[in-house]
Amino acid sequence: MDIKKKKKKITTPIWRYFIFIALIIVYILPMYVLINMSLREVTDIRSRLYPPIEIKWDNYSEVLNKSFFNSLKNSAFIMVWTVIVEILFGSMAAYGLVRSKSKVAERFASINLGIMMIPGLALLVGTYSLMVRVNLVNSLWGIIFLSAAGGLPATTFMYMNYIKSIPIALDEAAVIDGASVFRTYISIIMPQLKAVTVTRMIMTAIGSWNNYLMPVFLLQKKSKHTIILLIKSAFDSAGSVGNLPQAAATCALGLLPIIILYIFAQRYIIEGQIDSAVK
Amino acid sequence: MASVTMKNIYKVYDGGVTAVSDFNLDIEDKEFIVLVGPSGCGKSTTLRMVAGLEEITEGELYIGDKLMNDVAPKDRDIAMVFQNYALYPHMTVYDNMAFGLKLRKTPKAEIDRRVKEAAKILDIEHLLNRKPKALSGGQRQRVALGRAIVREPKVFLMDEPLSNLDAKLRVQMRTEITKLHNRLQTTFIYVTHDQTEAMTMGSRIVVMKDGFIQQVDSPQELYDHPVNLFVAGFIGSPQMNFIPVKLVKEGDDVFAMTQNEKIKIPEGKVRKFKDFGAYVGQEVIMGIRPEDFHDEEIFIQNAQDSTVKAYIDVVELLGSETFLYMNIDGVNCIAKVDPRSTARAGDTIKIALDTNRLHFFDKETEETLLTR
Repeated sequence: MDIKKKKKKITTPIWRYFIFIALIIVYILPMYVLINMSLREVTDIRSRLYPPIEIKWDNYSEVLNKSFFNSLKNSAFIMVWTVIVEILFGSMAAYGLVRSKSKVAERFASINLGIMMIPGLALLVGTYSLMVRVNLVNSLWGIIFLSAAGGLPATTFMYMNYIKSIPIALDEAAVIDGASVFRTYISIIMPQLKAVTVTRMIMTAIGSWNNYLMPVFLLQKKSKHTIILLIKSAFDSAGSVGNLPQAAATCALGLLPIIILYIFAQRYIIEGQIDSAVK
Repeated sequence: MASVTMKNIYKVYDGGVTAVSDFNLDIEDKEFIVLVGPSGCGKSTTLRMVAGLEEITEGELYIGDKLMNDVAPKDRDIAMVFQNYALYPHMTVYDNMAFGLKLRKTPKAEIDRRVKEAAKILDIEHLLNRKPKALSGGQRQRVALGRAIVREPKVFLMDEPLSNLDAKLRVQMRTEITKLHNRLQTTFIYVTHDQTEAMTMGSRIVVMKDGFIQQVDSPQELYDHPVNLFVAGFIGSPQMNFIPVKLVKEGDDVFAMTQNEKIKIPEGKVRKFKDFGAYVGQEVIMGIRPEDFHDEEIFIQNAQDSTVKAYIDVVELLGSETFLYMNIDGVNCIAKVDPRSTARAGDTIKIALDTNRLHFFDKETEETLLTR
């Protein structure tokens, strides 16, 4: 048989490109509108799809004031600690639950799954009154604990799935080598969970940075405001004063760190997802 | 180096499942003992109890003269090689081997010396910087052995270490482990379900079934003098043939009779019966190993009273030997004969039994009827 005849040209059908382009437009358009808005004069009220008549960088420099940096610091503090608490406790809980032979652990794992289904909003009133009682209103740690607690069931669940695929013989080999349970977790188990840890870290970081619901109720002092609250108040004041471009600049700057983080880390997220699918 | 003593050991899991019952065994220093048996017989559980990975429900375990029941695995001075190697995937071969020593705070220079020495013994010096995923199955197994060697333990425990390897590599590693034992002169406890491994490696073999020890003996003794039907069938490949017979005494002669065949039992064999009188006229199980059938003409002529008719179902030519799958008076048997055998499928041939090598078992208790 003629080999040449058997060969098929591997090409992507052209209609697929149209779909890709349409999708990219859908995703890019809001960002374009935001950047476009942030570079306009207040008086430029043409359609938001048109580029600015004159680019006004001052909108950005005006935003970069003390209150912006304070909010940035608050958001970063909350994000870093939420990630640390969630990853540390989620992975440890998952390791314990997966390796434990007790039936209590089995039940706890299914309760954990159930907790994941409860929307945070449903618990808002109870949570708020609890936070008032423990004096964690207007405290960044209050938000950290709440966010971490909210994310822990999903983190634990994700880790459990990964840990189940690690042969228990590795733990046993470590025990015979002389490792304690904690040493086994740190030196043997955690390094196997790099992909899920990075994925979860990024997801938690993005979730924490964009968290609006809890901070809006619990962080009432301006000095404790996060970036998201700052953006919110920028748009609120834009409504009354009318400086929408400056509010857009606040929004663009506020989102910048998380967008940069996502661009650098998306490879790990994809790797993590593929890894979990393979496992 | 140390002896291992297990006294009346039981393992009962939650829910009342008994995995090991009344296990008694004295393993001498430097001995290579093999625990063998079918899946679920409790051999791995026993090994894991020695390692400290399973709690002992009842009984006493001594390593040397120290009671080890409540001693943590790391303090038992044992090393274990797992079936799936259990190498740490994120560490290099060097780090895998050094991990246990690092935890014991062994000086760096000493760790380096031991790792390199073990690597030399196992011929894996060139692999020290590789990670396990870049190794073949055989190389991984060597690393797993290396990790055990560097610890210089009193007892080596091996849980089916060769079962993940292909047949050729398994044979090679088998001899490597035997050589390693000779070189290290340490106590080895080796678990396998493969009776060939057990026969070729062990200085003594423990045959287990349903959590109970069936027989503890040297490979040759186990083969020649199985204490019951299970051991007789489990040890040897192809397995021993079992033919139900009736013991009949005619004058001074004793015969084992099937429906249509009559086989004379030599006087020497009759003398080996523990209580021959009790079995005259009774049905017993006669056992004969495949290699104790002979289809050579000279053998048949010299053993007229121990020759039977056999219908050949299948002939398997293996080059060095030939297996005849045959039917003797309604019982399926296998004979291992000379490759020059002329027997062909569909033939009915005469085949002689080496009656000096017959085995007899009680039909009810399945225990052997013979003394050694």
